Amino acid sequence: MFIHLKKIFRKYWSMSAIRQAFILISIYSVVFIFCWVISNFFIEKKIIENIDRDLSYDLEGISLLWQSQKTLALRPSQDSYYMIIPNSQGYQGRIAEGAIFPGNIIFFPEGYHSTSLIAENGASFRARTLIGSRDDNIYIAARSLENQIQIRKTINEIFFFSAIFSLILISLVIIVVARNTQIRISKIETSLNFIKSGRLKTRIKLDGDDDLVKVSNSINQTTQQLENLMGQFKNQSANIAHDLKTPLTNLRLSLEKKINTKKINQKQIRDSIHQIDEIINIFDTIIKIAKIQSGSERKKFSKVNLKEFGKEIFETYGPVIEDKGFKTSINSISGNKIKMDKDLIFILITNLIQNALKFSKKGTKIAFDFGPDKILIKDQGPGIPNNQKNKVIKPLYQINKVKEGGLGLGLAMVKAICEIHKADLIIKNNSTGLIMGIKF
Amino acid sequence: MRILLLEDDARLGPWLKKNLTDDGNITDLFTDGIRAELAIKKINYEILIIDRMTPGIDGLSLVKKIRSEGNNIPVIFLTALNEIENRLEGFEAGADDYLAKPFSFDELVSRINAISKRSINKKELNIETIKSGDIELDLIKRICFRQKKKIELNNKELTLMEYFIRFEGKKVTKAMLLELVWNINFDPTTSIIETHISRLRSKIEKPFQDRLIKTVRGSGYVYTPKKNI
Repeated sequence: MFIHLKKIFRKYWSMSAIRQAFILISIYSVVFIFCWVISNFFIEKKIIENIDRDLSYDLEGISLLWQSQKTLALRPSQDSYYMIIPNSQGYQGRIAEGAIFPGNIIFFPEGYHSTSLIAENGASFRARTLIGSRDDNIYIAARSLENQIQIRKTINEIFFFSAIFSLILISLVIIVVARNTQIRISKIETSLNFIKSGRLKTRIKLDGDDDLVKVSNSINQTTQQLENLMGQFKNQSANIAHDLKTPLTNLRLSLEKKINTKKINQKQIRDSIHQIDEIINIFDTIIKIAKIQSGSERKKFSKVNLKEFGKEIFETYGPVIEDKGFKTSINSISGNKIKMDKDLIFILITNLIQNALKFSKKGTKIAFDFGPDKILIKDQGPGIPNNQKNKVIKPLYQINKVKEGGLGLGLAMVKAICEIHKADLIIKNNSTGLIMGIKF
Repeated sequence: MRILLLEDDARLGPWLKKNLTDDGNITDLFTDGIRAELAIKKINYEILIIDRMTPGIDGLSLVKKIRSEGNNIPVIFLTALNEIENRLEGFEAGADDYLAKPFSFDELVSRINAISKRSINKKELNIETIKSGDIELDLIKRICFRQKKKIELNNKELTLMEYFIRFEGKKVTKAMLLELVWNINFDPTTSIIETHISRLRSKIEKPFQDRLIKTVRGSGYVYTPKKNI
């Protein structure tokens, strides 16, 4: 039984909203009790202060009256009591008015005391007394505390019932709110468990506009991103597998042919090696893209003068372009040095040049623009249809695979390089051809 | 050539040993770094071919260690780690060359030859002019002369010629030239090398009607100087 209760307690205690509700109710109870005690203390203090003040007036009154008229003052109220113990002018014993004072009161020191008196009807009641001496006489004034006790009792009852009522009300409100919050948290937890088990289409649906909704939205966005990435990953894996099958099949067939014919032809061996190199190149390029996308290449950034860099590129690629039967030119504009990874930008330019060479007709022009904050390669080829612009930057995508050949990884790498530089990839068709490049 | 080969792959190690030995080298194969280190201390190897990740002491630590002990034997790293930072790490440890797996045996042999030649020529690296046959390069003024006639070469062509002279008689692969002249560690798939060599040939060979730079089909080039007239 105890273990069962402990388990239930643990279960609910582990729910943060329920735990918070319990803590809030506890804090409210402690604060209420504290306020109750403090209020009681101050109310009693105030009551005693008022009675003590009245008693001091009473004492002065009876002492003056006794001294002048040898009589006790009339009791100003039903709960006022006097007593005098004369010690001169021939009077003996005690003269009391309204109540019987305890016998040992003459031994009380001067000052205020709380004690019990006996009324004329014989009933005992609590009273506040003030003992003072004037001209060798001892005067005692007393006032009943019964009314004040009754008032305090009433106040305490009010406090008690309001405490119980407010505690129940607040507990109910807190428990309802906590339960509602707990249900929402449980919804998030359940959804995350679905996501964890691989159901990436799961989304958290919460109403309202609070922080839990914001957290849920963030989780939904992350899951969406994860779903997209997983989709891309699956797609790419399938594409990679598909793209590898062709060169592997070619390789297998050519090797098979060699076995069957038992002839070793140098050209066939070279072709086989070339096919293996192509397969390795696919892997290298995919690894390179992943490496760039991971951001681990960022540390090689340095400031580069684009005009100088352009000269270097043109010196390398100008002759290559011309030898392939194209015209070429460079337009360099001086500007501020650009922070870049020079090796990666070299790869980017190489890819763009490869594309320009592949798609343009011989005799047309491939031009370079360097600076002040961009690098552009302009060709006079057919361009990229607007509806294909977003697709060509996806890995292994090719507009016309059979006709073009290649891996379909070049522009994916260009895009990754632009992203790591937080730069824009420019793909623009103009009247003469295609403009591609990077704007820092 | 006496070669130490540290390679723990059960197929690649023996295969490399056989082929290096068939090429006329004496090759000692080790599969763990500790034994290799002991052998390096006892035998005067001419070149060390070291896989980066080996049992015992890994290749990188081994090279650091032998370099710290003042041993300057040429070292080629063989590795599957081909990122630029991995290469830098290798060179910083003291490697002379870095060959990424998978590689061709031909490429390895070319680099062994080049590196052994380079180690001989190390003293000459800082000189202002280099001469080879009837060609003279002024490395400061960046001018090339053949048979005392000035030949206009652009910066890249001159650097290409410089490396051909430094590796004269040895095969230089395209990958080596891309690394040395253009600092490119990837295959640009455009004919950078072919174009620039073609242009270099048209300037240093065509007017003299001879052939100094010979193409080794599918793998590289060999520069053979013409004897001084």
